[in-house]
Amino acid sequence: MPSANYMVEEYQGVVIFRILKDRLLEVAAINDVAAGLTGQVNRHERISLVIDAQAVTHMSSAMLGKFVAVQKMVKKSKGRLALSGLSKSIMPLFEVTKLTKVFTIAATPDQIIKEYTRRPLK
Amino acid sequence: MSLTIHAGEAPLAGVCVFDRTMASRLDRKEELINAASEFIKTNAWIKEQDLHWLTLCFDEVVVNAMLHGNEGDPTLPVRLRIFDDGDAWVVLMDDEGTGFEAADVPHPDDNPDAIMLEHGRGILIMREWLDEIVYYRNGATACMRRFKES
Repeated sequence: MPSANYMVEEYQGVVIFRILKDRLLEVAAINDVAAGLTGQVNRHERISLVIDAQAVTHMSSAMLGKFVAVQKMVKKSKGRLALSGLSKSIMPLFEVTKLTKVFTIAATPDQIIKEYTRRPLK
Repeated sequence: MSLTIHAGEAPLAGVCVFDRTMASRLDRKEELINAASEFIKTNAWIKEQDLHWLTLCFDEVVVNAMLHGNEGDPTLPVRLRIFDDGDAWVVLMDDEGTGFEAADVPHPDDNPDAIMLEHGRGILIMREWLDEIVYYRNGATACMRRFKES
């Protein structure tokens, strides 16, 4: 079912999950985005997943927790996940919680898409 | 980094300028968060570019009170008060729970495994922007303080 909170594209085997919601604070929006991400991971045997968060201006710790849960799923299936487009208001949240050690983070989705398509998962 | 949790009541700092009580309904939390944020913004106590931090801190403290303190029970109220302490603004957020222990909030500096937990980051985030956050009533009252922008 289409969601107003995100859209999903696929390019040469890379899943690009674009978050459209600017404020990831409401429980319903957070759960919707998390369910969308989980659904993509479950749909692929080994996913190459790029989350594009350029539109996001606010993000609560609950959303960070969901990203961690998705990262665990991706690692378990030997896939890969990267975050991109984190704004000046969002990046400090990843720094203070040390999540910069857990996630590959790129300035733009294109950088990661290029990297992932150059080195496809076998 | 240790978290301070006092057993007693929070001391009242300055003049109470905002006082709202509402049921623990996460679907209505924004009413409280927006009203409190708007009050501080209108008084120009923070910089415009810090508005997202203010919203985030209110969101974290209100969610903690409703979801963890009151365990999501919509019959239990939360109370949010703002005090004008002269140089600083102070927020007291009360819930009806029994509180928590500092060990319930692992810090990634103390425990590297905490990085991969799916919860427990809210206080860490609030501490990044606030000048102080301490707890009273064994954790059932959060006290957030930040100096006003001059």
